[in-house]
Amino acid sequence: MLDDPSSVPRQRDDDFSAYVEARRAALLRTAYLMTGDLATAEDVVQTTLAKLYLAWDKVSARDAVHSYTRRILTNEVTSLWRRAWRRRELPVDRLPDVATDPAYDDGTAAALWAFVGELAPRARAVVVLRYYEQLTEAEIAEVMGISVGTVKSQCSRALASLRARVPASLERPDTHERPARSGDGEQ
Amino acid sequence: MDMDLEQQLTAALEGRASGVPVAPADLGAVRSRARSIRRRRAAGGAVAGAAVVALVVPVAMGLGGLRSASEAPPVGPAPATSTPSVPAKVCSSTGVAKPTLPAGLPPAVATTWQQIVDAAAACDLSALEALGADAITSYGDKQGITNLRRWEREGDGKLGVLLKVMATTSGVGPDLGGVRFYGWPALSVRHTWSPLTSAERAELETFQKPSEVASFEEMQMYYGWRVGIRSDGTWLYFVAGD
Repeated sequence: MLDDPSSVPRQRDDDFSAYVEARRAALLRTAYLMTGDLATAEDVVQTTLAKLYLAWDKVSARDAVHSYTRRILTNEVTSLWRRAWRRRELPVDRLPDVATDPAYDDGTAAALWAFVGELAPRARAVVVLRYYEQLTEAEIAEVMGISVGTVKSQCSRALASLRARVPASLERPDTHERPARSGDGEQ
Repeated sequence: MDMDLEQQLTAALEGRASGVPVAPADLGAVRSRARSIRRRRAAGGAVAGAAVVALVVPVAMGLGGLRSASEAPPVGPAPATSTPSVPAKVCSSTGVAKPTLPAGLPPAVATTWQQIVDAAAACDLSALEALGADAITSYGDKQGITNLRRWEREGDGKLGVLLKVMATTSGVGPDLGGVRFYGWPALSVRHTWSPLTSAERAELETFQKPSEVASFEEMQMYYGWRVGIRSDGTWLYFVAGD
């Protein structure tokens, strides 16, 4: 216990602020991939951080914060789709405000992204956690509160769906070099 | 082919993610939303959340979650307490003063209050389970009574905390269509925050750390251990966190 109780909230906020600075970008990217909409992703991240803030004192093991935060975020995303008003398709009169990386702007990435966008929300979350966050199946199961077997089947079905829809031109070995992962320093 | 597809999928997701513009974090906005979440939960939102040290009845205390009186389990006589579920020597309530029934509670609420206190003081987890029926649960895993047992077994029991919470001054929530709920400590059901009195602080510090109480004040919300009983006598929750 600190001698000066008034310093506790300050220290708490400093710790939390440092965590937010370090992780917010990564959380926003993950949320965007899961939702496909930047405004929704920002809202999800804001709620995730607010809930984390409320629980900050109880998440004493800092190495557990990442997985705890990821769990909140994933729950927020998947719960969005249980709300009827979110299920409506909203017409848009402008292009998405997130640019793709020019390095992948040959149609491949755009096509895959479009296919990912058509996956069911939970399957999409599994795909993002597996192929973007690079979590193991066991870690995904922990984050989503489902069994490893369910993770495997979700991944398998998602891949099968993508494979069935991907143009033949994408199946041949390509010349893309896999770039360094953006945001690696924040993980 | 799968490997190729997986690699392309990863590359596509990384490429897409790299284009996401990231504005500077606004901690003030986060705190504001945190207050909003807390208020919503206190005023009637689901008490379910992510804390891992929580016990809560899923119907909680919300407008939407309130069951009609006819659906409430009857408040009968206190369950038998002759066979403690946990040996007294390892029970967290051992040595904790057993509070006396406060005056002014509605009869149904008073009955449940006394049953909870009797069971906690006797380390009778089975009785507590019966009082909560199948509604009592923990966040996430719905094994609240299992958690109570496990915590006691592992030396981190909360029955002592439960007794201390029940000893605090009670408060009464708003009238929700003829249904009210009573909460311990009082500030757990207070709709607006006001600075803690010395008496309130002293009560809280019987079961919350001073640093935690400082956090409540800083956040202007109470999210520590709390108990709720509906006006028909239904035990709603014994919960900490959000």
